[in-house]
Amino acid sequence: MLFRFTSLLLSIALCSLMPVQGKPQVSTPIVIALDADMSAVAVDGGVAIARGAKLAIDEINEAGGILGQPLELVTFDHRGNPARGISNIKQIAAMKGVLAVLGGVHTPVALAELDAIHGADLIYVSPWAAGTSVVENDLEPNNVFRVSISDEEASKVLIQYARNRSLTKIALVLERTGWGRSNLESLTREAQAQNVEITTVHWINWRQADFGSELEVMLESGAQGLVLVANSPEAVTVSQAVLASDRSSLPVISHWGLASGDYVSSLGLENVSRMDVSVIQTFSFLKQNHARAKALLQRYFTRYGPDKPQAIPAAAGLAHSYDCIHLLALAAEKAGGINAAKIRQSLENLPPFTGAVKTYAPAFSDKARDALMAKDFFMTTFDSNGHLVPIANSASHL
Amino acid sequence: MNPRPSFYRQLLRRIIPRLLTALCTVSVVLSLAIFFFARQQITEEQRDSLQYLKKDMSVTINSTRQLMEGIASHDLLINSFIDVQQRQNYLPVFFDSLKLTRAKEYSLGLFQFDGTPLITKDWENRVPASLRSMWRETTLGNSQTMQYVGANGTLIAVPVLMGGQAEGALVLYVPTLRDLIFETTHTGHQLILSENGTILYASHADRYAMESQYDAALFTSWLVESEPWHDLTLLHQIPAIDAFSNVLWLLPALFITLISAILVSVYASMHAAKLSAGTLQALFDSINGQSDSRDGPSLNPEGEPQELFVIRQAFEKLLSNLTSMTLSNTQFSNVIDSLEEVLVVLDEKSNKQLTNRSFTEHKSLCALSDEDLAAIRQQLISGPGEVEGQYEGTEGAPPITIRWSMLPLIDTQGKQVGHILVGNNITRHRSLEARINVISHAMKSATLSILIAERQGGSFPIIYSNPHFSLVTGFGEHEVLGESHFLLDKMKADRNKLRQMKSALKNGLPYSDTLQCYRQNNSFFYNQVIITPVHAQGELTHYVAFFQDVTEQEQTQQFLKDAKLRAEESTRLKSSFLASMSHEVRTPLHGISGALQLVNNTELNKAQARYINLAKDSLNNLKHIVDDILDFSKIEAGQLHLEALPFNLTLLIKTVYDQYAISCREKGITFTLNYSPQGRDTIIGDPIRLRQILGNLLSNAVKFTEHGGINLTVNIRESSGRHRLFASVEDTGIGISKTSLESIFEAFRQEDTSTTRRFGGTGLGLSICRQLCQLLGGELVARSEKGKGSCFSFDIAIDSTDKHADDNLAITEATTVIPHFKAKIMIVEDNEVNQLIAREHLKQHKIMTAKNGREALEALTRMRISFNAILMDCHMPEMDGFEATKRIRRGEAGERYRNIPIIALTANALKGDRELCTAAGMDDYISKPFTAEDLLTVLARYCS
Repeated sequence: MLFRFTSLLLSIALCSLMPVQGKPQVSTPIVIALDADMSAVAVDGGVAIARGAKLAIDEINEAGGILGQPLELVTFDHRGNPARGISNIKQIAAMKGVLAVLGGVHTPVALAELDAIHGADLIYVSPWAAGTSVVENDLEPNNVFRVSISDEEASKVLIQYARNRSLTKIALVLERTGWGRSNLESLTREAQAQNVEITTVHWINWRQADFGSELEVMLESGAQGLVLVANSPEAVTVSQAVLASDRSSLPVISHWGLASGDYVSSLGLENVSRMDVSVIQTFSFLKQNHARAKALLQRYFTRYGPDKPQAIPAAAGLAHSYDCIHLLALAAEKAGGINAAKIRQSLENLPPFTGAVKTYAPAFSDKARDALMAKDFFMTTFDSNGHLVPIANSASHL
Repeated sequence: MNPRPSFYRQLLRRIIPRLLTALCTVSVVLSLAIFFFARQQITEEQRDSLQYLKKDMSVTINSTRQLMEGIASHDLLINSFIDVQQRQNYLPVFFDSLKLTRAKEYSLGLFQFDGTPLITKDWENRVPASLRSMWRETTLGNSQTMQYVGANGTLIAVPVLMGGQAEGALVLYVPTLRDLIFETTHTGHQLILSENGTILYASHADRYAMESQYDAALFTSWLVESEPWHDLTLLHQIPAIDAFSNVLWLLPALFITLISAILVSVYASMHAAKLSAGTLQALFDSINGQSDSRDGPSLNPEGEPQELFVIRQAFEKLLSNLTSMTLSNTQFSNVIDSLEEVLVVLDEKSNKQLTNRSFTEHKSLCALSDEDLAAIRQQLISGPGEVEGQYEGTEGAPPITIRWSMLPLIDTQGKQVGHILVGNNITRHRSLEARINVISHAMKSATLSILIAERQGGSFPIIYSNPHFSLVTGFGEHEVLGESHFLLDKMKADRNKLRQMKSALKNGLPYSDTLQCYRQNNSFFYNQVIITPVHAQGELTHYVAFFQDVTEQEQTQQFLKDAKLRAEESTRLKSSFLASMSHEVRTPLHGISGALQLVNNTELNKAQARYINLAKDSLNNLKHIVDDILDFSKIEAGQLHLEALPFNLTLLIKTVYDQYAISCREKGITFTLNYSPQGRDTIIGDPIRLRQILGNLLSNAVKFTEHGGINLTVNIRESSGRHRLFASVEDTGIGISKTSLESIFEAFRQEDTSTTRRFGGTGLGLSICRQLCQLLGGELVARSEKGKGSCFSFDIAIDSTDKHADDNLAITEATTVIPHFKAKIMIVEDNEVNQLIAREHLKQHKIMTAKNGREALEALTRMRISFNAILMDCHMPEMDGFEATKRIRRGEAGERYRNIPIIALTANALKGDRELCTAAGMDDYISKPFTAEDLLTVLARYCS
């Protein structure tokens, strides 16, 4: 049986093949395989990741590529479907010259792919998927590195933010996947540690259309606010239920899945403005305004057209992806090749590096696979245009 | 000359051939039309059948597809694509719960985006290889639903969409077409053929081999309709002979109808011809006969046509004119004979020339001789115009009085040739006069006032009043005659009654009443008035009024009425007093009973225990007596209310039987039970009262029987939908003498006073039983022979029910298991003995007592501990139990006690108390005297 993948976007972003010292380059490109949702539920996230990667690759190729070879981005669309993700990984494994797989938004896909990734001995770098067990996966050796939020760390910030807002009773709304379960664990632990009571826990299915009855139970339980762990479509479902209740201004403290899709346009700007939604973030062009970030912004405007800095969708994904590629390039240069074991070792022993998000000093170690920690997170909220802007004094003190 | 053909033959010759031709033509046209329309209808039915089949399958497939699309968009199903780690926990359950088709055999699969199965059911082994992946292109590739119906079965594939694109597919496969079709009964055969003509489905599966090639040559004499559907062909076929079977039977019917029509027509024509010919012949005969006999009108044949009748009348008139001339002589003698008066024509020598029938009759009745006639003639010639003669009746008949007058007999020349004597029989007239004289005298001397009024237009003036009227009322005759309304307005009768009387007169109705009237001298008297209309020939002509002075009777009656009322009131008061006294007696009784129970629970030596038992026995007897008196008083005071609720009769009878079987065994007598409930264990009635009646009769039987035994018979009979319970208690005891038998049912009676001494008892039991039976719509009767035994039998009305009764209702004495519990209970009771008893009974619980409602409210508000229940006496000083309960329910003892169980404790066993308690908001009710078990059982219901 042969089956045509009509949904597969095989877009090849060829970096400009810059002549080095006037001589034409004929070497085979080194591939970064992007495996993300480019067309289904987290398109904003997927596009931001792709753009961040492309801007970094442009920069690298302008400077002569890696080990004298150009860097190339090959995009695979898993549409948030784990089965598709695994299929993608198998295809990537069959390709030549793959330096690493750059992952997408979805933790469930990343978790499902772990076996295939390690089976093919691919390096997997996550610029987004936050599930704790994506990184802490008990695999040996562990090929997963992350420049993003981890649920473990995010829980500290989310619960602390609730406390700062004097919300001592909260409810949890979690998607019924590995990601939701990953958060249940860490949020419960943090709530206990910070003396916040979790009144109820609600699970929401992908594509669930109504959350009214769950919300009713939640409000009756005395919850003063809710912590939301879901992607954009389900976040819209929950928000619609909140708006339909008599507590439309119920504080919604969201994990950053909400920022991966078209939450604002799906819900409507007017509706968003009626709500009290805050979203955890690691990066904002308004907050990170050092030279590296400014340079990235400039490159972005040059390539994708100028706009307001806060209007760039899923800017954190962009910055994470951008830093990931630079860290990978650094590791490859250091390793002198793209052999997975060498790259892994090299990544574990990187020198300090100043990226768009922060200065990594260093990014990883053989124990620490997460480059960002709670202290790097802060809370944002939607401004009157529906763009995420940092909330003053919301940076983590942890 | 040829003989002329008869009218009959001519008619037949013309009518019959035409008639037959018309009938045959109609038959042929009708047959052709029937077959034409039958053929059309069959074709239409076949097409309908095919349309129905097509629609049935389409609807099935479409509804299944819609169902599948609904499931494919179910969030749990979508979630399972994402939730790789945990989906095994819910996906198989969800998947197994899917019921998408009514087909018995089907395969279902949920597939990933690339066609790999996620979960399937009977997929690999059942779905043909050709269909296993044919849907992928459409459903997974193009994200569209796919439907296939073909030789290999039916397959429906719907995409599982995420972000508008297929991320998986839900696929259903049903192997046989049969499962998509609701089999219905058809006149013909439905077939479904594949593209290459093999049979995939046949409504009559036994007639066709599935998967075999359809051979049209086999069905040449069949009516066949076909219709394409998807890649298949739907066929409907039916043997022509079967198809037309509906109309074939019409042929013989039509033939028979035709023959019948011919026969009927021929017969009708013949009959019509015969009738016409016969009628003409009859007319001829009748005219012919009359002109011969001349003895009256001709015979009028029945059903003679109008035309012939007119001819006959005209002929008869002619004939009558001819005959009338001959009649006058006969008429003359007839006239004379028809006179009532006696008529005798005498010549100058008093010889009879002519007499009439009346004379002959009178002569036979009385002694009227020719000499008498001559004497009368003589008297009348010389004397007055009339003379009366009385004649002895013959053979003991009464004498007859005749008043004679005379006329001269003149001949044609105007010369007197004799006399005509005319005699009127006035015997009856005379006797009437005599009678009127007597009646008139009677009326005059009657000691009853009589008035007669005559109708004159709309009013009735008095035309007669008798002397007694004047005597009684003081109104003289001259004041009365001509007055209206029988003078009652002058006698100042009550206006309303007067109006009623006038209305009766107006409507010609009789009227009677007793009115308060005044005489002329204004003295008062009760006037009993009876006015009756008199009709003559159906016309109201007079009214007769009788007045009677009934002043004395009225006064006596009023006195008696007052006396009766006073007597009844006094009885009621007495019964009421007795009833309430019995309650008063119950309270101390309860005290004694409780105290005895308490003593019994202490260490006792043998003698003490025996005394206590004696006291308990006596107390039980006393209780029975009080109960009897109470019941009796309640019945007398009309305060006894009966229940009508479903209960288990079998259980009740068994309990009663068991109870008395023990006493019988102890006494050494037999006790048998004949019980036939006719399959009705549960009936509607009053179980308490039934038990009471049975108990009373049985305890009497046991009491009065020393040898032999007792027989209890209970059965249910049904007649015209009503049910009755019959029971009898028969014993071989001392019996009752005939003279005493009826009086034993009277209150306070036993067979004789010595019985009372010997056996004890109040003598109220049987009286109560009989009254209960009567209240329950039946009767209690006794049959007995002194020294041989008695039989008491009764019946009561019951209702049947299909409901199952709450068994607890009938078996109040069944042992109940009281669960262990600990509670905090407040007892509100003013009687210290009762307080003490309740306290003792509830020793293992926390108890607090209050003397009345006010104290209880204060305690409830003040105390920190929370009570679980309140036992509430109803009647207490200061604030009674009802009031206290209402206040607690209003929240006056605090919110926490608003719904606390409150149980009434009362000696007031009268019906109605329970309602009062419920109305006040109490939850339950315990009647005093109560046992520890009673208390604990009820409390356990609320506190454990």
